[in-house]
Amino acid sequence: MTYPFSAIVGQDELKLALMLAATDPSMGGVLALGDRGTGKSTAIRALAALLPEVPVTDDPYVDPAPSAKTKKAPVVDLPLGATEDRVVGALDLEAALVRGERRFQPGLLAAADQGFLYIDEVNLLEDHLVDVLLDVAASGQNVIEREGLSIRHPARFVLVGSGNPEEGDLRPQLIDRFGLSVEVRTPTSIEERLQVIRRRQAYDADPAAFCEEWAAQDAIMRDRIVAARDALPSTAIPDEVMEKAAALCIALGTDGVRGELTLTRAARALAAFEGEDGATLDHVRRMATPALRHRLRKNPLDDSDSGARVARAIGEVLG
Amino acid sequence: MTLTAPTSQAEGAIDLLMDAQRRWDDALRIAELLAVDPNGLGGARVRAGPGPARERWLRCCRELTPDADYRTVPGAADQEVFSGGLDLIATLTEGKSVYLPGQLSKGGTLVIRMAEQIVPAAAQAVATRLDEGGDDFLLLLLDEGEEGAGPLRALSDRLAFELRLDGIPMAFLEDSETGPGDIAKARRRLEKTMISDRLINILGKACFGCGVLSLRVQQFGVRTALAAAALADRPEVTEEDVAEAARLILPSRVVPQEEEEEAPSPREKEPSDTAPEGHEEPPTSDAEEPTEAPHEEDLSGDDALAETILEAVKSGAVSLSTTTLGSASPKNRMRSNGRTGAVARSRRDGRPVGTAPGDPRRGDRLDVLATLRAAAPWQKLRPPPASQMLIRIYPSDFRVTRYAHKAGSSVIFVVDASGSSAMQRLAEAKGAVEALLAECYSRRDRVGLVAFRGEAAEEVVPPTRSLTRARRAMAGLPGGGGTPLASAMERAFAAALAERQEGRRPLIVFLSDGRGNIDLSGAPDRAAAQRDAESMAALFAEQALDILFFDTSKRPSDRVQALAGAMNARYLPLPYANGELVSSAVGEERRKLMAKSG
Repeated sequence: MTYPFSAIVGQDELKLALMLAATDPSMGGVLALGDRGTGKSTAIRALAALLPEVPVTDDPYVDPAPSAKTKKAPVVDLPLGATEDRVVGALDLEAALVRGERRFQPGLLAAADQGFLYIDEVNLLEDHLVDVLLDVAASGQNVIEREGLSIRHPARFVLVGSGNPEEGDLRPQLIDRFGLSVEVRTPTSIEERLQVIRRRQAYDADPAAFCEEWAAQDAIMRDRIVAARDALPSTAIPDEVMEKAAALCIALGTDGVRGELTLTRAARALAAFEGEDGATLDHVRRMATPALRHRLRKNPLDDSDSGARVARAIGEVLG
Repeated sequence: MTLTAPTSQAEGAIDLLMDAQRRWDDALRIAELLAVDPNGLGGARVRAGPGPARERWLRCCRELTPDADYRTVPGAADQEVFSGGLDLIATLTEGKSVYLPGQLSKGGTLVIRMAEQIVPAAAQAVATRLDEGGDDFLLLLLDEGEEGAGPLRALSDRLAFELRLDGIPMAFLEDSETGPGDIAKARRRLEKTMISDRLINILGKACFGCGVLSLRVQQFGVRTALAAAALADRPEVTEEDVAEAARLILPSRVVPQEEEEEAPSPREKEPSDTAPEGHEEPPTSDAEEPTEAPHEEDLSGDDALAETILEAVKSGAVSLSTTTLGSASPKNRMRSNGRTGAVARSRRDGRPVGTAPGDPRRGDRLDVLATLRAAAPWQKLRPPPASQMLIRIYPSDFRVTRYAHKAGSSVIFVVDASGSSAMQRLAEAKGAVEALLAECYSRRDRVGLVAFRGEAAEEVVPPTRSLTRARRAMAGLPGGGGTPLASAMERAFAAALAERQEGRRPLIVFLSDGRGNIDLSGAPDRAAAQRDAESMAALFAEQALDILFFDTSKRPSDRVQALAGAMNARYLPLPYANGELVSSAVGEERRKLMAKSG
């Protein structure tokens, strides 16, 4: 029984970012930066449990047609010391040794298809794994050519990373791949902490009853996400709004075009999520910080926080 | 024991003994609490060398829950041992599929010996299991290693307690009076035990007072207090329970506050580079962040209680630091388990670069196809394969993959913060450090800073990749005072060797006028200081460390040049403040080093 998403206290920025990422996976996933032990992993698992079930493919490497069965959206943890074999998949050793068959043993990327791939401490990830992940996350496909295998399978997942900048700065190419970034802080208000502890106690005492209590709220969230997914293709973004988004990115000097793409996608996703027909300047304003804060070129002489820089630029460009 | 004329040495000895007794008593108490609520408390990290105290404690834990499954696992074990999976070697040798059940799949107590060698993937698997909880899973980490972060940190964050069992005389090792029956009763009572909002908040305040913001720690405090109340057959948690919980959980997590200027420290004369982080002078200044944050209605009574708790916690933190200073000496820092760790990691790090004969049982990664290809031609000459296998494999057929791990570099600055031109030198060094970190997109490089002034040297920035951390550490760096050059050299030496242990190539950069006037013991004796510096220089040369020495004296001094020569350092005069020269020279030297190591 996973802890219910709606029962999570606080962490509103994170929860919204996750829901929007689930609404539009093409946006590129979420990077959660900040303190340890703030329930990031809990939030992701809770969201996955809340989402509609996904179709199961019996043997995706032989017959990609989905069967009638469904399963919960998977959440796969990418362990720190994971070897490439485990992540990408490899020759099925047992089949090879015992039966002499050349079979593919799927790795973590296959397991994460249609779900979430969670990388804790993304700043400590091995370089060669980073390269693999970047390719797969972008293309949605995992291509394996090794050990006598030639396999291609879908690997569409929402990439969620967490990390603490104190432990080492993240590689710019990698963080740029994340759509939205949020800051996660441990609550410092006594009341909020009390509420978290009490809810946790209630959950531990009787998980089934607790989940029952929150089921209705979770259902509302699920319906909103489903509705947003359906409405997304027809959610428009007017040219004037797109121009402002572009102007904002220019003002901030973000590298490449990914900033604009993400910002406009995020604005549309937010509009769809809130049941609006089209994205407005307000949606752009609200999504600017999460979409752009991690794409600013690092200036060692400028001590100010990235969030503050974005806020300043928003004030100047969007008024 | 009668003392006619108590000396401070005798007092010190008594303090240590009392502290040891107290630590053992606490350890027994912790064993009881863990037995009552393993799900809520997770387990404990036990820092001790092998010895009677540790074994006795494990036995106590086991005896408190005789029905629980009790298993031991070596820290360096592969991830499959923890999570389960195909046992490759057994499969190959026995000729049929052999599976490892995975130590995390059942409940009960899991003891990880030499936990400091745990590989990150395994640590992650264990951490996830702790997060899931349930099945009365209890984790005991036996940590024989030195301080420091690493994969173990992720685990110890999820365990309520940390124990130190070094230096406890055998005579103190008595068993507790609590028996398994008491534990079983307490467990049944636990569900119905209550704790008031007020007491939960007081624990929160105690945490803040120690600079510990993590909510998880506060939750551990709550669970500990509940377990304590359950053991005492109380339906509701009392203030004593809360105070005890804080005292058991917080001291090992106290975060050092910003030191007040010139706070005289009762430091031991031994260079305490093994002193655990977080155990400097007891913080007298407020925590930087949120002591103003908690808003509550009832001020006086609760605040007083929180204060009392804090005092108890802090005295616990201080005594922890005094015990460890005695037990470890700088030589112990480079122990063999650290070396094994570095080697084991490097077996699987990096890009695969080819295959060679080898033994996968020793940690290398089996290359299945190459192994099969090696075995194939011999099949006709060998006896028929065992049961399910299609081919017969001999150990000589094993082929393993070789990896290439490009070691990163490390730059350790040693900056003279003494005397009048301290501020300039510091500014240059700070600028160079920041510039290096900013351009270090390659995450394999680290930068550290040792500063020296007054009586001793201080590792201001331990080697790190994080610009944020370096900036924060350098922010309050003051200048002035005597020049303890030898002491700084000692720190840098230790840091450099530690970097090497981890497979990096350290470059040490000195910024000083070389005129030490404080010797290693902290006394202002110029001649002794010079001798100490020279012997340190010889050590540097012996270890063939790469060193850049910037001479910041107004006129290049022969003595300094001689010192640099004794270290086999590259000597560069730098009479005027010139941050750019420092940065570019360091950058160039680093590139040369990387080219050499290849």
